[in-house]
Amino acid sequence: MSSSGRVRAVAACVGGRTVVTHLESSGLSAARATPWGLHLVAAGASPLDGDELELDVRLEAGARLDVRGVGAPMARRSSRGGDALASRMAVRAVVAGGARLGYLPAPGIAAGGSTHRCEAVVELGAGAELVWRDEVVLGRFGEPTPGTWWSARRVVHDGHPMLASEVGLGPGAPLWRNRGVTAGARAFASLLLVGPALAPANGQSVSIDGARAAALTLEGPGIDLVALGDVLARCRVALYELLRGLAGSLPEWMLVAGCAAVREAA
Amino acid sequence: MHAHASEGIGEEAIPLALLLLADGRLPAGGHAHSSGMEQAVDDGIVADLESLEEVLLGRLETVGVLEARAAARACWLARRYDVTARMEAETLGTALADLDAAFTARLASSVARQASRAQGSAHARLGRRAFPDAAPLFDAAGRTPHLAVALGLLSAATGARPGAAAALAAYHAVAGPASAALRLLGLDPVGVTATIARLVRHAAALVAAAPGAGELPLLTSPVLEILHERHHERKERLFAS
Repeated sequence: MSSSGRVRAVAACVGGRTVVTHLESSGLSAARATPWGLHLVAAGASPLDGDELELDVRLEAGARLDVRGVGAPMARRSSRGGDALASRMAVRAVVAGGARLGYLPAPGIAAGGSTHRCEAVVELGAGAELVWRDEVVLGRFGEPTPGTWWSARRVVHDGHPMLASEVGLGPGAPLWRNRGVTAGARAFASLLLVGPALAPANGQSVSIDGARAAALTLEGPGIDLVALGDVLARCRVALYELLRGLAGSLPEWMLVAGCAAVREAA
Repeated sequence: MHAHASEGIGEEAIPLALLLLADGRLPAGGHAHSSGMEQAVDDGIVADLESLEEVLLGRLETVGVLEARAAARACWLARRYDVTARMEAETLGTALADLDAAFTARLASSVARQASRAQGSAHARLGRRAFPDAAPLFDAAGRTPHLAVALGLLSAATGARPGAAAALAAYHAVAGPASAALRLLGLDPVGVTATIARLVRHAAALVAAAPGAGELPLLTSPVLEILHERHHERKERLFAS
């Protein structure tokens, strides 16, 4: 039998400080508000096939919140046998103008036999600021046949679509091994940066032993950094190099937050 | 507005003017774009017919399907405006602006967006001259439509249906880069044509039921996006993209 879990959080700026004004969690998911942000805790097990997880975060004007995961979410196949259903994680974030969200979950891990779908919908008001990390590792350490992980992001800024993109990695994704799509990469990392003070930058690319990455300049005040590689650590090094190259185009807080996002322990 | 001669091919009537739009000799600047193929060749990703077919298949099933669906939608909108007069010019303009925004959000690489708009503008200019009756369609699409949108409007101008517009866009998505690879690698032209023929048969199944409505597909190709950016950073290049 599959399970579900849901976290809803609202943060507001009260007297110059960010306060989590509403927090509820149920089922598999739990969340704790700390001075360092909102921490997601898997109260039950990590997602098994058929599980449905939901995260709904709302930041009101002026609020600043980091959302972090405790422990990597690992999609696994249950031992029930039969055809595995996909587990699913739906994330919805609404960030008002003048609010700042750091979405920094632990990397997702697709263990052998699992299929996981992550769907993020982000609605940004004009002037909202965002650092959004999305990372996937195929397979547990040494696991020869990994699972399949789909990650879709839909970002709307000031009422206009800014980014709509999906990647599929693993044996269940028909184009995973295609050398013109994801070339069989075992790790994928992306860091989406949005903010009104972001200066338009030319795209950049880096190629580091085992990883390749590029900074994609979106229409609107956003840059999506994407990396593909054999291991996540190399993807992160590639993203770090991109951030260094973009230093002149990013506001200081964003550079600091971005570098921290790709350097902290995975 | 339309009284174009049509030839029945099977059950589908293909307006003869549509063939003009698939002709590589169409003076719309397509030959200047390799759509990432020049970088793929230089990076060793494409080296022969086999790797070419794999990379083109990946392109077809990601950005190719996106372009096919966008072309189908543009054609469907244009036909509502044009054939049935059920739509006001202003409504068409708004609907095309929404389509433009949805499509733009799916091309994360600004290099890919610029290449798409440059080719779309050239096709729209050609469309105004070649199909003067359809000028209101191109007016409604603005000055720099994406290539897929321009192909959809051009298809409508020939009297074609959305399914044919989708097929045309899918064909463009593979034939342009294939031709670039042929020139860059000195491949066997007959072999490249056979590759395109196989991909086109595959595309026909992919876009057969391309609906005019609904959300555009999301599936993207990170390798292609990275290739676009790498190509743009080069000092010397034969192709604009």
